[in-house]
Amino acid sequence: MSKKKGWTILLSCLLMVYLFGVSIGPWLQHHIHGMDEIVTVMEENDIDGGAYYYTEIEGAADGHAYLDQSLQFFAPEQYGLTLPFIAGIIACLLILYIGFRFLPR
Amino acid sequence: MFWQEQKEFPGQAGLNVDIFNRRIRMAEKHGDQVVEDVGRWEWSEMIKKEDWWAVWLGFFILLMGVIIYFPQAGDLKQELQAVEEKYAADAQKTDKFRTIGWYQLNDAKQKVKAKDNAIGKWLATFSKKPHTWSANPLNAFYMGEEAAEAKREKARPKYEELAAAADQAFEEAKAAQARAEAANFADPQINEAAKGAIADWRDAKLKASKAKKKTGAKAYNQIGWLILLGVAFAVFFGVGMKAMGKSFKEFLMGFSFIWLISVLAYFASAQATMKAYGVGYAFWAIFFGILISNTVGTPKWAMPAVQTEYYIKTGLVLLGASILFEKIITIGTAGIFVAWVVTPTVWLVTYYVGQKYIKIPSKRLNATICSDMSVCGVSAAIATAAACKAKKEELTLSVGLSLVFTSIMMIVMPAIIKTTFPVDKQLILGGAWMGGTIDAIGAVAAAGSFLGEKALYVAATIKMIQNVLIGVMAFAVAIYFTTRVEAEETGKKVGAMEIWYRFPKFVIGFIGASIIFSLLYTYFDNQVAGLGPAMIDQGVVKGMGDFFRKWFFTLSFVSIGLATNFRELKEHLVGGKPFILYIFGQSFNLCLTLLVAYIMFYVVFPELTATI
Repeated sequence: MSKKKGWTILLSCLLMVYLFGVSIGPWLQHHIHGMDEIVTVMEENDIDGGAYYYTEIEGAADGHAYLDQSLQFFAPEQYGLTLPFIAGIIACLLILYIGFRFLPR
Repeated sequence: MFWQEQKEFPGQAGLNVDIFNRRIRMAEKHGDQVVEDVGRWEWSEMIKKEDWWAVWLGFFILLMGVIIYFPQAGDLKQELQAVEEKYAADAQKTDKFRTIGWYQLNDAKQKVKAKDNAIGKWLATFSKKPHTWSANPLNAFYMGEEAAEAKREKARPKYEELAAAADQAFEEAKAAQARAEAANFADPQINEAAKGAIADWRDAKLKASKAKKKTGAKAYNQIGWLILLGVAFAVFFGVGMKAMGKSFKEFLMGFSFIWLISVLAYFASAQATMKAYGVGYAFWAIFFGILISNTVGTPKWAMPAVQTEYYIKTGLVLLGASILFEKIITIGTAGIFVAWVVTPTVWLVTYYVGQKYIKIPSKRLNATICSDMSVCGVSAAIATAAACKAKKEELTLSVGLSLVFTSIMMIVMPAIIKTTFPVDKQLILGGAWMGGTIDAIGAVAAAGSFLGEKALYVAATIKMIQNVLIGVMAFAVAIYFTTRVEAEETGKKVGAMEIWYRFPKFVIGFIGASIIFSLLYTYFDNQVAGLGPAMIDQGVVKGMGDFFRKWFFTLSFVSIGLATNFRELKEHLVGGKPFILYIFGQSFNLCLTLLVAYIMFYVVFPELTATI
């Protein structure tokens, strides 16, 4: 690829990205059913739709605190290392062990 | 192979030889020269190999976090005890509904954060990414005092209005609770009225607190900080490069370019529309990297800093510290079955179908897509790709697939739940379904918030528990690929020592960080409830590891892009097999998650569901 062509493609792509961000994207948003509402919720709650991990979202910390305290107060017998809970962990490990052991060669 | 160094030996054109933990020996056998693959451990690897440098650098950052935040443990413990004393009696007045005191206790505990000290605040500014912007790109880096004041002025009337409404709702909630208390919490109708009034107060308070944030807009100039951060990272990684025998000066030169593209990736992801579509920094880092390398070409002088594995593995060690096992008890047994039983089942079934029926040519691509789709998107894809030594294009493809389907599911799933689920099951069943299936937590939170606060809490918590599973899955995948796949590829059986030679060593740091910080979390939380989150979550993890982890992942994604050729990427797309695999896996995931969530939350543990 010639240098001139390379630079032309690079700059055109950057321009397209910019245009998508400032005009095409917002226009499209209004034409996708339900998207406007989701965007409003995200703006109001300051949610970053591009977050990849739980520590990047306030809702995860809030939810953790809320559910933790709810269980401790209202269903303490269901909280912590209960027998069904441990069974769940063991089930997970067993699935992984058996699954990986017998995957096809 | 991307995750391994390669070398062509004279007379052995095209022969790929992994020299990472291996020694290749030319030997005479039956008169012919053959290549013998011999695993051997050398202690010097601990200062010469990037896997170990990732561990040292990751733990150095975590240790700094411990030094900065742990001395506050005593003060925070006292603060939490004071909060308990103040609100606990009120919080436990009744088990018929959540009292005002219950919420006040919850709110007050959440305000206790180790990272709120002076050093934590400085680190937050130092490592800050470009700010959110809409039409004026300059706003990503700079906002003057006048503009900040204008923003504050604009937000103030709305906040004042909402704050007044919250105050009024609080008075009404107090009166309603007093009426319920006067009836000894025995009248169901009065209890319901109190519950409703308290819920209204919570809604009003939440709205007011969101509006309050906007009244605190401050002027900023991020350019100087970004330059300082870039220099600090260049030196930080440069030290390891020097120890590994590379040129420090050449690395610094190249790093300036990688850094610039990383800032550009954050700049694009901070744009309001891109945020709305859920197009995050990982996509932009790869996109800009690929765009440059396939148009004007990656400058040769930048290549010494194109060190994908080095950055990614350091980031993964930091990620390990946030994989806290106590988190999985948050939503009880029902949650563990949805997140920890469904996920590995979906992973294994999809992998099996990928190999047996769809016939994905690369097992590593298959594994990376499985983790990406079934566990939690990009973070799981990174950890799995590193653990199974996938190629860079394989990780790029997985991230791309995740992005496309996440954006679609974020919009479609809440709509389906709203129109098809019974009203009483929309929040919890819907939340669990979305949390267990949508890849990225940003999209999970957006879709959950759309349904309501409880849906957000359930969805985000299920996703958080899945995030914790990354450690288990990465370890299992590393073992599987080391003992089975690589053994098949080389045609040799592997013994215990051989597993050690081949095992990706950074996984030790990743799992080690998880175990150490999980134990510390439990140790603190056992002293007083809330001290674990305050010291670890809101201390070392969010106040240190997280500040840098995302930057390290961005550096690695930029490196991936800069070293990727479109043709290589196209090879993996032939026949659309990755798409078919993703669609099959996600469809199976959607069905199984919904079924298990329903059974767990509404058949096996309905009393637990009633407490949420």
